[in-house]
Amino acid sequence: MVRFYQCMAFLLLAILFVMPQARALDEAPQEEYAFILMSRANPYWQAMIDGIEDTARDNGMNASVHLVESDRAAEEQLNLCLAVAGKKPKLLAMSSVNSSVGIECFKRAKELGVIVADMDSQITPEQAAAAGVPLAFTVGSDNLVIGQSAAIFLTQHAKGTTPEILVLEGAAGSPAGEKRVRGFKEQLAKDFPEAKIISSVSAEWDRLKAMQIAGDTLRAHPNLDYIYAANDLMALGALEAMKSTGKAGQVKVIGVDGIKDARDSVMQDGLLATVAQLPYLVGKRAVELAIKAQPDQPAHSEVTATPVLTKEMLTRGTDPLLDYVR
Amino acid sequence: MFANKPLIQCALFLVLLCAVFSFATPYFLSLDNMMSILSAGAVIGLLAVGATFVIAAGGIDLSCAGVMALASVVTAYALKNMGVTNPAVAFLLAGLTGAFIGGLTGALINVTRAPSFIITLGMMSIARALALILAGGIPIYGLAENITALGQGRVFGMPAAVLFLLGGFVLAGYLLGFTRFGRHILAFGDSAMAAHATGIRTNLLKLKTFALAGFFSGIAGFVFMARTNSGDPSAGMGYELMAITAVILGGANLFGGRAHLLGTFMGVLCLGVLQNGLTLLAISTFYQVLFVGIVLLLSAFLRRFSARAS
Repeated sequence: MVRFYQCMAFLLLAILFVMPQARALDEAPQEEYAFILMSRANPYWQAMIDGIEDTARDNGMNASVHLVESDRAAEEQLNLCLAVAGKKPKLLAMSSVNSSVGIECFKRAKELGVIVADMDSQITPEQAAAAGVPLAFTVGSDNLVIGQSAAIFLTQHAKGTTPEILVLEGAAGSPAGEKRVRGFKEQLAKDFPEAKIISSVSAEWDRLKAMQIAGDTLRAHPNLDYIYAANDLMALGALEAMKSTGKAGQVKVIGVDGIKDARDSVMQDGLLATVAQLPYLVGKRAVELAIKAQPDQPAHSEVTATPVLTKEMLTRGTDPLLDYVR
Repeated sequence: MFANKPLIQCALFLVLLCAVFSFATPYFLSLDNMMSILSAGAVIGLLAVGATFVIAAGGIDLSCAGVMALASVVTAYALKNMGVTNPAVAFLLAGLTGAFIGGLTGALINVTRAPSFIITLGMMSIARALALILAGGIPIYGLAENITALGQGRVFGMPAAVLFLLGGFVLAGYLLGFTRFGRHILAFGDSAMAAHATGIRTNLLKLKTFALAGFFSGIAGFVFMARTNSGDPSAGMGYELMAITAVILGGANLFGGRAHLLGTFMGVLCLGVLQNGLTLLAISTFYQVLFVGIVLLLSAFLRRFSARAS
């Protein structure tokens, strides 16, 4: 018990020692812009960070980028966001792990007079407004449109045939994965009712799993014509399976994301195409919109382009959007 | 005066960290930021409370974060699908879910005589899997406002999550420091044979210790759920190690017999201050993880050094 009081007294003394070091809050630098994303381990976020940092440098903006360890670290991101909001930056733009985390942090930021914005379309302006935290802007690609673009491309490519298609879905429960598949299926049913989806299963964003599923499906359906994978890793895995069975020429694979490996594969006649997301462009536009953002402005919604990268397009190299492919 | 060296070291270290960060960033010492550190530490802190009991008894609990995830999912499931609306019922459900799994862990340790490391490693996977199965792999979102207010709201200007944290520490501090149960845990952690010889019913004690640790993990799950407005089966990956880190930083002996709730509290604060300060300085998460590792190693060196000196 005596020890307990000794320690308490020591703690109190320590606090008394540290407290005078406190300085006035108003010394905090003004006009800071904070951007909160997910994990640097994923090349997608790295490209977005590059877009933010490059554009901020070009515009002389005082931008800080904050990250968490993984794409599912909800509580860590909430803690991080609350700490950053407390610094009272001029604007806080966030790609939140889930909409609850984003809205909860935005509430606190709004109390502190910070302008808030969404990146990568995690929170809709309607959701935010309903929670009493109007967004200055939201910028990002639309996963539904990505799926639709893939379906439109496939429809044109397979015109006049009745193709058999395998769909490789993302991890169960992923909103992005679900939209990419739904957009694809709905558009295909509308534009190309003759096309037949023989199987639609989750390969959990995983290359090896995609390889196994694609190989098994091909054995059961030797006339398979196309594979649509909800990300490039799965597409590349499926392509490996086709190569190992000698069917790489027969079965055409379409991926999503436009990562470097996938683009290289497209150039070497591996993948047929990949629907690119342009995270660099999302980061760039977020900075440009942040500079112009005013408190209480009506929400500005912007959907960034998601071009279908084919060998022809990449070889031509004239499309201005290719500048943002990283 | 320096009768309790590990505690003093932890306090000194905390002061040093605070001093460094208060010079580095002016915002650090504001009341608002202090509250932010405390609420950020609420979940890890409650897990660390449970871990303190287990470590005091000479065991280790690797399942606490998994149990936390399960409790958050069970409670969110009950709130969304089973018509539970009362926050007190939800709180109890979370705590009891944790206590049940914790009790089961204790019983398994008693039956198998296996080290707690192995049994809790198994329970970690089982709890996480049960959470994934019940939630269907995805977080259960959208809880009622009377629940989220308990994680996101404020009471007399203090974040509600902080009240859970402080309440947990006060209750646990009383149990470990001022009851026969607490003394028995420490005696058992010091020497299981001696404790048995003095007539302590050690099997029952282990069961109670793990059930209590489970209860606090369940409460951590409740706070997690209320803060993030979701019951998430993948919640708190790696939190068990952070909780153990906090307990060790706080001066507990990993082999049992010595543990202090005040020390654990300071250990949680050390981790929270470190994370918060580095965030304010916009230092990458990678370095934050690195610093946590360095701090733990540093405390091990310090302890070795001071043990030799004395």
